Amino acid sequence: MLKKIFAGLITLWIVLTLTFFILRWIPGGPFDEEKALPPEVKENISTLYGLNLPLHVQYIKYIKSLLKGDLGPSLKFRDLRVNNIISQALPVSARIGILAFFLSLFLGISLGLMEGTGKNFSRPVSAFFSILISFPSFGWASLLLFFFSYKTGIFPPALLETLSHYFLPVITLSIIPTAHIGMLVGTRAREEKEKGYFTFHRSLGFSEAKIYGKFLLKNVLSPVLSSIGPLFAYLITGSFIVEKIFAIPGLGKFFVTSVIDRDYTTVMGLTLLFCSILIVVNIMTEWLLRIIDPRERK
Amino acid sequence: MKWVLLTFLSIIALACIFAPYITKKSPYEQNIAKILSAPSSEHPFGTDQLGRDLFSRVLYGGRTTFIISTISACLSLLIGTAIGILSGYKGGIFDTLIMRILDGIYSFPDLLTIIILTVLLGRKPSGIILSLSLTTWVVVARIVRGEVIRLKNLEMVEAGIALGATHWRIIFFYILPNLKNLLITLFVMRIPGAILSESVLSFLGLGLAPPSASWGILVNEGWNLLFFAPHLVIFPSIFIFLTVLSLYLLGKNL
Repeated sequence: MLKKIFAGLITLWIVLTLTFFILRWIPGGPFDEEKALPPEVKENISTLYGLNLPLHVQYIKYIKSLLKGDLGPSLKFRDLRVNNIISQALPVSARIGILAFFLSLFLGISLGLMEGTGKNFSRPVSAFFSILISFPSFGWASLLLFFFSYKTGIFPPALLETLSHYFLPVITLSIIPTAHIGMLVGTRAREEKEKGYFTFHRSLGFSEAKIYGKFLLKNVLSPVLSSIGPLFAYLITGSFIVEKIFAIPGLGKFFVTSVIDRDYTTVMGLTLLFCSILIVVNIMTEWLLRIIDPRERK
Repeated sequence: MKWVLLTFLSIIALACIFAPYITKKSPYEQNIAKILSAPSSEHPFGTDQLGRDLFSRVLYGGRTTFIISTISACLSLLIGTAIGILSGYKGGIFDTLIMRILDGIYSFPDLLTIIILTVLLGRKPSGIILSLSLTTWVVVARIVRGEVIRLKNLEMVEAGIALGATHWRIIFFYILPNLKNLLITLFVMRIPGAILSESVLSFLGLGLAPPSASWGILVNEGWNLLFFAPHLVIFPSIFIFLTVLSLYLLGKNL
């Protein structure tokens, strides 16, 4: 466990170093947009943010302030610090992300079980999965918006104010992970059904419901747990798209605009945040996997 | 099933390749008198906000989409296979090290890496191809490595070693031929992945710079007018959807 946390910290440091140098290597700087700026003023702004210092000095300064928990000032949103951006936008993204997480787990597991065990459902559900993953999420969003918002007006098309605003973004975000988890669960359930314990318990007189609910579900759970890491990764990048579509002021939107604007500190801060979320999630799922599956303990 | 899909994909691909023979209209010619007109016999898919013919833009855009996705699938297969074979065949510390690096890259969201790399390499076809292939070879390498480990423990390899075959001979004449089917499937499955990633990138405004078009860019351009001129989003989306779906199904049925 401690070893995992240590490895996670090392990964975080590698990501930090790589993004730091890649970002400064990218052509274009954060103040290129303001063409009207005279060179002296630009010079002064750069000095103010310490962008004129040699790279290694900037790097050491950044790490020092990071250790104090300060991600530095945003270069584009002038009055904001990266910490403020995160504390404002993270709750918004997190609410949508967590709702989508549970929705896709629930739908994925139930549809997957249907595909893997149901006789008549198997083919249609599997075709349904193929259709879901063949369209980018913004394509699904455009369909949902067109029918539920423009034609019928059931759900509002943008922003995030009342409960009904959550439906379309959360559904859009859940579509693709639902299909991926469903396919995984379906494949595993089909494999498990072939195994001896299935026939064995049936011969002992256990009811079908009990065999499915107690034994099959438990064995299907471990691939689901190991898919939680990739699921979180998808939810983070999916938020870039969903937040653009529905004009939601969350982290994904900030990330994309700051990459385009070369806002070094915001990109760095958000990349580090995303990366630490993923590391924590991966460590936690591995730990859970060991609890439910004794084979994983060594 | 396989032949239906192959025929369908060839029709789309040929239509894009021979676009100048199918439609006489230029994808770049603007016509202010006919802005956002609905589909008609003259413009089968209607026109966009600059009066350009959408049908010809979809066909020409398909070229970009196919070129980017096919080349990046090839590159990612090449890198992935090379590293997968080396890592699986050599084993030991080298293998462990490579696997650690792969795990690191794999746990990082691929779209995040693609975005940062695209901005670094530039919003041009070569930049997007490179950033897609540099991110996705990891999956290929993992699968190939697993298969190589299985293959190298087979008796035929043992027989090869007993006959005095060199390592290179074993890799190229014993292992690689057995990977053929797997590699074809991986290749077919990589293309739709690349098509989707490219379209997502375009949608976020980080794809190719205008006036070049791909299906993703067409959707992005029509997006703001979704409720007023839905045909701008519908037609390119249908092409993305049908192409990706048939490639996935083809990969499954190979």
